Amino acid sequence: MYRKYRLEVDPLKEQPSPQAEGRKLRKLPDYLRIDLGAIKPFHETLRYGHAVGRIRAQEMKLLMPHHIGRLIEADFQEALHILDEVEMGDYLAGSSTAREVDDGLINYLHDVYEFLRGALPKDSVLFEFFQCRYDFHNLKVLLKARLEGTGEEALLSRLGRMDVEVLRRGVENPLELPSPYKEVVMEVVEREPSPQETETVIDRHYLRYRLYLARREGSEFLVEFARTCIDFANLKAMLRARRLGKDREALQSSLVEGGYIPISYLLEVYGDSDEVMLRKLEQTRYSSRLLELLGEGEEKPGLSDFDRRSDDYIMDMLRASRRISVGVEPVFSFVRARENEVTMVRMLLMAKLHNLAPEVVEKMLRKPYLE
Amino acid sequence: MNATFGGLSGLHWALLGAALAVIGGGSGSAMGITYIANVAGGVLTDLPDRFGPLLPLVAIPGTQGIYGFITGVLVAFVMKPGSGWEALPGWVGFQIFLACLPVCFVCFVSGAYQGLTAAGAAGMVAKRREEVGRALVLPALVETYAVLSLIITILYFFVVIRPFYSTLGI
Repeated sequence: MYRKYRLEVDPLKEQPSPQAEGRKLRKLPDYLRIDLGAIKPFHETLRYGHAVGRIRAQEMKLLMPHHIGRLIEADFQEALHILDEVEMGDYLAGSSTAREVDDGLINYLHDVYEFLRGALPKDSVLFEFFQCRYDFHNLKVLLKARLEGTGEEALLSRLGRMDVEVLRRGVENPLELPSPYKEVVMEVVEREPSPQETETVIDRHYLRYRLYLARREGSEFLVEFARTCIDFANLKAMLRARRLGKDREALQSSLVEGGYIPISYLLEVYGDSDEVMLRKLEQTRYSSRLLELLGEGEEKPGLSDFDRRSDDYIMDMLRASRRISVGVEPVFSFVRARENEVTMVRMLLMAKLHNLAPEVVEKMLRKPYLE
Repeated sequence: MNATFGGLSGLHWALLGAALAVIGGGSGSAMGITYIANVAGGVLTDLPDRFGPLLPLVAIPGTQGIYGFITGVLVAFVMKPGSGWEALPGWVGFQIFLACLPVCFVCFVSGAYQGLTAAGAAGMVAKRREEVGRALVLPALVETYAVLSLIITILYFFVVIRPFYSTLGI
């Protein structure tokens, strides 16, 4: 990775000339050493400048809040007309069924990733960071289909980087797969877990792989994102386990290391009452609005509410990165905004197809990137 | 009159100062232009019609290189070629060298940072073509300090150093 090529500038480097042989030069103290790689703006501008230029040109084509307001009130056909005003409209033209909407949105997302691939520097892991999700998803579908003996075609995603046939062969012979997919299949084959446990194993590998990619990129922002995602996955697992009345050991197996909240702390608070647990978790970095769901009883909002609130939390995090003019942050935030846009439009159009009231639809939506 | 100062003649000191000013200014400009050109290239890939508004932004970090060049040329005048350059005492050459340092350092740093500022401003132009005026103001503020360093260098040459010449008879 590029970090390896960091130029360490030490103006008095200990390389005495032949004439100075025998005379010992004093080494500069650490606080006087200059690491050019650590001067982030220059480094990031060279690496991500082109990509940032390209996304700046595309940002005006994002879904704006006024579009969303109109989409909530519109019926399905009107919604398609409104979407014609943005880039996504071309992909959804003529759609009339849920399947067609899905296909259109997948094509759109595919082109977003292709755009990303064209814009990013060759050694950037950002593309892999976004697309590995689909490879892990496909692996999950294939492994579960193998365990349950069911068909999988309809559930496979074509947005992944790896060819589905390669993954299919890899499920039979893990050594054919590259890391980290090889390790996933080997662990599943070795442990022969239930479909639910298989899902947990794959999710754990997925989250940890993203953290690894973030660390490899050397971006604090990406690391923060990856660690936050791990925390949300752990908190969600905790919420689910509490609702199902699982014991601490069962919860432990579904928690992932690497987040900001240590697993030991989560396990410690798990046994407490709702009120005490909530109070203890509020001492972590997450807002009480997100955590209050964890303390609510069975009749209260479900996991989808937690997903929505955690997505909103991440969107706030991305919005904060908008003041960074050049670097990995604006590129990441832009692609994430596009993904968020697709989730919102899918939700909106599906709600329109099922004739849901605008008030219900409004409650389901995530925060947009642009306000 | 000391012909050398610190082991170097006046001519050597003056040339060293001139070279550093040209190197500092030129390197700062080259870095700054690279930064903004990188971003501008990305914008132009998708919006080729923004070439006009982006061009001043790409060109603006180039001025530091010009200031370095001006300093280099001025050194030649300050050394008073007509009287024979070898006549320049070492300590006067050293003064010329010192006078070149503001341009050398300030233009190097401001050129690079102006490129970064312009890279941020390019995003404004990409989104709204009509924002070019405002976008240009932001990196132009960085220019102030490069201009000030050039003024100080010129001031040193013609107000502080040049009068010494008459007292030395060169």
